[in-house]
Amino acid sequence: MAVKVSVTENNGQKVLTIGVTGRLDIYSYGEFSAAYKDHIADCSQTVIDMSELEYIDSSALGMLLMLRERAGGAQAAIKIVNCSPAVAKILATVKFDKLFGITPV
Amino acid sequence: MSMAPSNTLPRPAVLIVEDDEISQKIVKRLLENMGHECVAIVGDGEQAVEIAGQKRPDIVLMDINLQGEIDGIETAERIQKIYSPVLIYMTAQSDVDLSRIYKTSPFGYLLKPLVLDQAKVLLDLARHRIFDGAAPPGPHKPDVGQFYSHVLQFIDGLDVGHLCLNEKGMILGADSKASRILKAKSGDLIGKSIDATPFGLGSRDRPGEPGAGGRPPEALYDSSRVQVTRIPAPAGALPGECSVVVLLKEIGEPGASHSDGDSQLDSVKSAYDAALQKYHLAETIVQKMRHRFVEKPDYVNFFIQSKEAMGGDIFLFSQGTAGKAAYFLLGDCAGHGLHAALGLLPIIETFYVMSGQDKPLAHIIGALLENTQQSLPTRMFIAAALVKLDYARGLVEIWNAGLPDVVIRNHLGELIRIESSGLPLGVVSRSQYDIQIESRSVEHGDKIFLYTDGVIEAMDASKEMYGQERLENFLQSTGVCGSLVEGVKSEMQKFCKGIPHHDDMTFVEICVPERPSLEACHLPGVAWKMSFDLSAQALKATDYRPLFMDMMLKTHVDFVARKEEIFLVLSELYSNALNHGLLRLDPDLRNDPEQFFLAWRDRLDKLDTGWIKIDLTFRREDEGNRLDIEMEDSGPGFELSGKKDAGDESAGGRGILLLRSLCKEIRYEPPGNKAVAVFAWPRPE
Repeated sequence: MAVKVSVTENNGQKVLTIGVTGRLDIYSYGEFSAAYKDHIADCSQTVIDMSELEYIDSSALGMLLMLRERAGGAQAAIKIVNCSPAVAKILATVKFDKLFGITPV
Repeated sequence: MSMAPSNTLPRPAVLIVEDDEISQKIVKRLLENMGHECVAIVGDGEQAVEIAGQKRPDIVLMDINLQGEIDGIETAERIQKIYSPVLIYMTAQSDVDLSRIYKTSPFGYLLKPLVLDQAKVLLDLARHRIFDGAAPPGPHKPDVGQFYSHVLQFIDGLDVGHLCLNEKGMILGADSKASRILKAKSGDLIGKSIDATPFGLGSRDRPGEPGAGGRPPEALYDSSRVQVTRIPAPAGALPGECSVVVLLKEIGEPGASHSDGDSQLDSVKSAYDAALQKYHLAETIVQKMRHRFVEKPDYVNFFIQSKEAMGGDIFLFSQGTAGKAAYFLLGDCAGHGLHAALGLLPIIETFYVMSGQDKPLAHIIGALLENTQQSLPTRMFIAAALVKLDYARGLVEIWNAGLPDVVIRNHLGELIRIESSGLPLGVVSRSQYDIQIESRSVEHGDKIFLYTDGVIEAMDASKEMYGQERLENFLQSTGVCGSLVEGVKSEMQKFCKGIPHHDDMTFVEICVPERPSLEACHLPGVAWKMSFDLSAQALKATDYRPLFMDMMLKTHVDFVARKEEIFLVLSELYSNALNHGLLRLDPDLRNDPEQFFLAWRDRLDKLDTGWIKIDLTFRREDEGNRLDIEMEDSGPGFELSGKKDAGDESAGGRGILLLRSLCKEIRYEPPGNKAVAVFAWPRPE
C-alpha cells in the first residue's frame, strides 16, 4: 500500500487529506500512522480518500478509529470519500457511518 | 510341563525378606547351594521395598509376619507398584488370610519350618518361570487378584467356606471358614485331596505341589454334614494353578435349616457365575476393540509383545473417512485387570469415532483427556502418543504424553525426536492440561517410530537396559528401504540373549506413503478447490491474502463484484488463525491498535512453529455462487462460549458482526482452531 498525505487550506482552516492506495490492514499500520501523525493535530478537518483503495480488513477499522481518536474523538471532523459501495456497506455494518461522514463513489 | 535342562538357564537374583535369624541362614544356604544370587537379606518391610526398587531382584522370598510397620503382604504390594518380581511367601501362620495373599498374586508359598526339598523345588520352578518361555503358565496375573477379590465379596458375610483346588483336585488354599468346617488347620489342608479319589499316578510325586508326597488319600469331609459345591473356573481366571473353587457349607447345624444352606450356596454360585461371565465378556470386548484394525495399511508395521491378556499396551489405527489422513494411538497402560481394561473402552471408542470424522487432533486429545478422567479407575493412567498423518498434505502432527521420544527418520537419515510434552492421560483433567502438538512436514521415504518403554527397558542377564541410544543407532544405521520392525526385534533379542521381557512392549513403524492425487474437483458441483498449507516460515515471509484474491479473481468474473467482501471474510478468518491461533495474541489487545500492532510485529518476527491450512472451494450452483472458506490453525483453539458477541462494540465484536452479516454460514469447530465460512452470492444477470 501507499499513503499520500497533503495539507490544504480552506477558509483559513487546515484540511488534511490522506489518500490510501491498495490495502489498508495491519501490514500497513506503521506506514499509515506515520503518514498522518505530524499533521493531525494541526488540522481541523481530515479527509480520507479511498478512490485508490482496493481492500480493507477489520484491523483497518481499528486504525480508522485510532485516527479519529487522535483527531479529537467526538469533536473530530472526518470524511471518508470515494469509497466503493462494498466498502461503504462494510463501514455501515459496523455503524461507522455514525462516526465518519461517508461518501461513496 | 516341559523344562529346559536346569544348567542352561541363568541363575536368578533373590531378595530375602525375613526377620528371623535362623530362617535367614537356612534360606541363604539353600540359595547358595542352588547357585542363586542373594542380593540382600532384610528384616524390615520398608527397607525391603527400597532395596527391591534399587536392585530389582528376579525373586522376592517374603516372610509374611514381619516386625515393623508393614507386614510381608503389604511389603509385596508396595514392591509390585515399582515392578513385578516373582513373589514367594514364607509363613509360619497356618491360618493364612488367603484373600489378601491372592491380591498380590504370589508364585507360591512355603510353610515354616521350611522343608528344604520343597523350597528347592519351588525356587527351581520360579527360575524356570523367569528364564524359560516354556515354563508353567504363570500364576503371576494381576487380573486374577482383582477378579478373585470380586468373587470373595459374594462369600463375605455368608457362612460359607471356600477352597481352591488345582486341576487334580488338590487343595492349594483354604480360608478360615473352610478350615473350621473341615476341622483342620488350613496349613494341614494344603496339598491334600478333597475327595477320597486318589491322585493320578503322575501327580503323586509331582514336584512343586507342597505336601504332595505320598499321603494316603482320604475324604476330608463328611458328606452328611458338609455340603460341597464345585465351581470350575476357566484357566487364568483364578490365581495360580487354581482351576476349581469349592464352596463348603455345613448342613444340619442347630438352628439352620437345610434349605437356608442351599439357598445361600445357590446365591453364591450364581453370583460367582455372573462374575465369571462378566469377566469373559469384558475380556472378549477388550480384545476385539484393541485389535480393531479394519485393514492394516501396507505402510504400517509393528510388533506387540504382551505379558498378559489384559492390561499393557494398546495400539489403535484409524483411517479418516475423507481418506486424506490416518490416525494412530499408542498407549502404555499403567494399571491392570478388569477395571482397567473396561476403563479403556470409552477411550478406544472415542478415538475411533472422532478420527473417523476427521476431527482435528487437538479436539480428539481434549475428548480423550475428558474421557480418561471420567472412566479410568483411580491410580490408572495411560502414557500415550497420538499421531495424525495427513498424507495428502505431507504433514504429521504428533502429541506425546508420557511415552519415550517419538522418532522421525527423514529420507536423509536424520533423526528428529518428539519428546513427551505433558502428563499421561488420566492424571489431570482437560482444563488443567496444556495440549502441545508438534507438527512436521514429512514426505515419502520418511519413517515415524513410536514405541513403549518396554522396548528400551528390555534387559539382558546383567540387568543392562537395551536403551534409547542403541535403538536410535540401529534406526539410523539401516538403509531406507524395507521395514525395520523385524530388525529391531532381532536386535533386541540379540541384546537380551534370550532373557524374556518383563514388561509389555510395542514398536510401531509408519512409513510415510506417497501423496495421493487430489480428486476434489470430481465432486459434484465443485468448480474448483484450492488447498494451501502455510508453514510458520511462509506466514512470516509474506501476506498470502492478496495472492488468494488474485487467483480467485482470475478464475471467474463473478468474483469481481464481491471482492471486497470476500477479502474481508477471508481476512477475518486468516487474521484470527494467525494472530490468535499461532501468535497467541490476547484478543482484547485489539482494542488498542497500537499495542496490538507492536505485539503482532514482535511475535510474527519470532514465529517459528505452527501452520495454517486453508481450503477454498468454489461451487456454481443453480441458486447462485458459493465460496467455502475453511481455515484451520495449529493453535489450541479458544473457548467457543467466550467468542465475542456481535452486539459487542469491541474490535472482536466488530469482526464477528461483519462475518455474520456477510456470510451465509459461519461456524467454528471445537476446540476452536477451525473456522468455516460460507459466502454465497447470486449470479449476476
